[in-house]
Amino acid sequence: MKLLKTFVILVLIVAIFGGAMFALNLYTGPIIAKNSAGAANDRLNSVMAGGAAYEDITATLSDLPATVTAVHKETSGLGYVIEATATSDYTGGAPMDILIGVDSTGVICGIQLVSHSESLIFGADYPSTYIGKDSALAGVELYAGSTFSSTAFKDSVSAALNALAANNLIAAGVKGDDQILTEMIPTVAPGFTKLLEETASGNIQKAFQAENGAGFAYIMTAGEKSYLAVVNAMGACKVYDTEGNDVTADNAALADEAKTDAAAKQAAYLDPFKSKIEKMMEGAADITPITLDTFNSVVSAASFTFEGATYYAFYSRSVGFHQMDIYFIIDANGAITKMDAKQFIFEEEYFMAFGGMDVTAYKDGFVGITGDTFTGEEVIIATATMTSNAVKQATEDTFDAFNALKGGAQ
Amino acid sequence: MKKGTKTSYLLKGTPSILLVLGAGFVMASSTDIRAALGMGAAVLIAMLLSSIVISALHKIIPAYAKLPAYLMIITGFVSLISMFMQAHFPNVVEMLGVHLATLAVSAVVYRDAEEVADHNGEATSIKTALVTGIFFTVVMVVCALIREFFGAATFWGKPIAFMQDYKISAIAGAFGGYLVLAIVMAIINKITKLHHHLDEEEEN
Amino acid sequence: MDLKVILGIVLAGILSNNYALLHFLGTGAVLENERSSRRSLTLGLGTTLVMVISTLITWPLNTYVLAKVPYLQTMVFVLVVLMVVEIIHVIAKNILDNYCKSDFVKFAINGAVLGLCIHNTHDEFVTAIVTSAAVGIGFMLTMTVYAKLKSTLVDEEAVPPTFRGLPIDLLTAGMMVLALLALNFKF
Repeated sequence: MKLLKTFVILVLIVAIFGGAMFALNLYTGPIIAKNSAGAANDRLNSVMAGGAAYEDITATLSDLPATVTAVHKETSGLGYVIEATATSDYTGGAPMDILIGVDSTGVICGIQLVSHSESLIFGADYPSTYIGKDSALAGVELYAGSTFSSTAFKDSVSAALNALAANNLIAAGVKGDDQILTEMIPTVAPGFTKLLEETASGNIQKAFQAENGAGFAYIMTAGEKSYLAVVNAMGACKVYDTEGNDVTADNAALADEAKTDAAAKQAAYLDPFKSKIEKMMEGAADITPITLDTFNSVVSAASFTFEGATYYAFYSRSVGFHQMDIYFIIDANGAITKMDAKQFIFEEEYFMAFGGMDVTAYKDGFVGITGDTFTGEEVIIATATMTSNAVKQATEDTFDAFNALKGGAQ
Repeated sequence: MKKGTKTSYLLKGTPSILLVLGAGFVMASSTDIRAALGMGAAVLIAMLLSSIVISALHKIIPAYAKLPAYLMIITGFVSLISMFMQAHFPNVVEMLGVHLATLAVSAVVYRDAEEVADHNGEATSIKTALVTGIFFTVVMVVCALIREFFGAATFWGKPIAFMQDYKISAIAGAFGGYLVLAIVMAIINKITKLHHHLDEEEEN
Repeated sequence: MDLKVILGIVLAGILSNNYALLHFLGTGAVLENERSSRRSLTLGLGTTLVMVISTLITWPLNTYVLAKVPYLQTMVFVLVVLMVVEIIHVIAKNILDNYCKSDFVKFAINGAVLGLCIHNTHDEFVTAIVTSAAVGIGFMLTMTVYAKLKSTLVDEEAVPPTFRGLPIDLLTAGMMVLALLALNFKF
């Protein structure tokens, strides 16, 4: 009886409140539904002002890069909103989530970094430097102090816009000559890290210095045409036209102007390098500097004699977690005789957890390796990936320089 | 249980006990002032409405059915309130998450119903509900102010520029909930010297 | 289901997914707890049972019946929890009354149980059941450890008067939170 009564009371209460909720739902239901639809639109509207409704057209597009996760079309024709991701060497748990709004003419009208787990992220106002740009992203720079993350961000945005252009949704942006030439620098001079802008004069429209001191790059004009001139730390110069052809031979005047400008600013690596060689191989004689037209991380090269045999020395300034100074001495047969570096690990700043390394054994591990037997295993320093990569680059660049030297000598 | 002798903990001067029971939702919703105000309003209205209904019905409902009946009445009101809030304050509901629903089984509301509304008329019940609800709102808002300012460097969700470099994210997190509520509660104790009452209460 | 996954869920239930300490669900029930370890364990075990059985019922209910009327969720869930608690109380009356002095019903209807049922609706059925057991065990351990801590550690005289009572209880629980967070490596 008690149970029955309790049951009846409960049923009554539940029925009354259920009814009340049903009634209230008639009022709140539509509002809630509208809110949740609005919330989805709000997210996209944050980069597309005034967007009314969106249609997901991801599935209809071809050849989307892996970084593009979704493409929404604003149904009234305002443009498109792209959801993209980006991953850099500094990405922690999850990739960056990026929301890009592109208007119907292909110009970025809004952009947002929605979430990220970068350990070094660019400033909050960096994405807004993309607004107003088309797929060429002319004038968009990387963010100093967060080069890896901003490069990944820029690449992702660029890939997303290019994909829309490739699908004929927007017009592809047109790149100016100097943008084409500037973007060419990493290809023709892979050893130049982080270009810092310098003062320009004469035919030089824009001048850049590689932060690692590996050389200079110049955007130059002669008549109507623009050229890219690169000068390495050893003083060699190459000139390229906008199509990427090596036109050094036809533009000796430009090359000389570039060389002169570079020579005035170039840090002197040769003298300290000479004394370094003498330290590494006591009794080295006839140290003769060599000029190579490689544009990698090798900043200085020299030949010398030691106990009657000829040796070659190379100085590479590749960048790991920090700027590195790495030296190689190679015998006439192309085998490493000695390897040294100013410092491998910058413990006080970074490697709090670093257990220490046997530097002598590490250096000795390089002895006898030639360009053909180098596997990349030799460079690995446990827990120090970026330093290992820098050593690897220095080693490869040195062998490339050696091959160029040998090729040139033949 | 003697009839009519029971009033709320708060009116007896022992808000500590009340706060123990409500510590969960106080800490959960004190991450943001908007959430704190929303939760405060929800607690206040839920207590008010259920107190009124329960004090009106307590003579009709037999003793053995009181627990389930009161529980369902409170749940009903909490559901209605959360539906209303979802329509008009969706952001707040999202911030509160599951805590808004679990208010239905919160011991704060239930004990208020059981110990006050069940033994008193509407007037006392309404007064108790109002005082308790406002007390909780104030505590939550104060905690939220501190946690937003020091933990997230925001006010009402808006970033405070000069605090950006000095924020302590742990204060916005779970531990901050305990720490800040403990300090706020200690200050309340100090101001009101309520701990004397508390000691007496514990000795009884 | 993979044993590794199950172990992960159980560990999370005790550590990173600790309802009472980190999610603030059922915190009141834990903070209030001054019972002996044996009583705490019995109550916790009972609550775990309530969590698992409630999830067994609420998950299918939510998936198949409540999809059309989501606004009834809280009401239905509370009703289910209430019934489960009452039924367990009737069945295990002797055990519970011996150990818990019959406050089981009031204790077991708490935010952790309801919150868990609601959270679980977002998971797969099997995951939801395992999570329920894990969270229940975490809840049981938390309240037992907390009561033990409180009875052994706190010397009332050593605490400044204004911090006696709730503030020092909160700080005690806060220290447990710090320990858990340290295990999660995140703050």
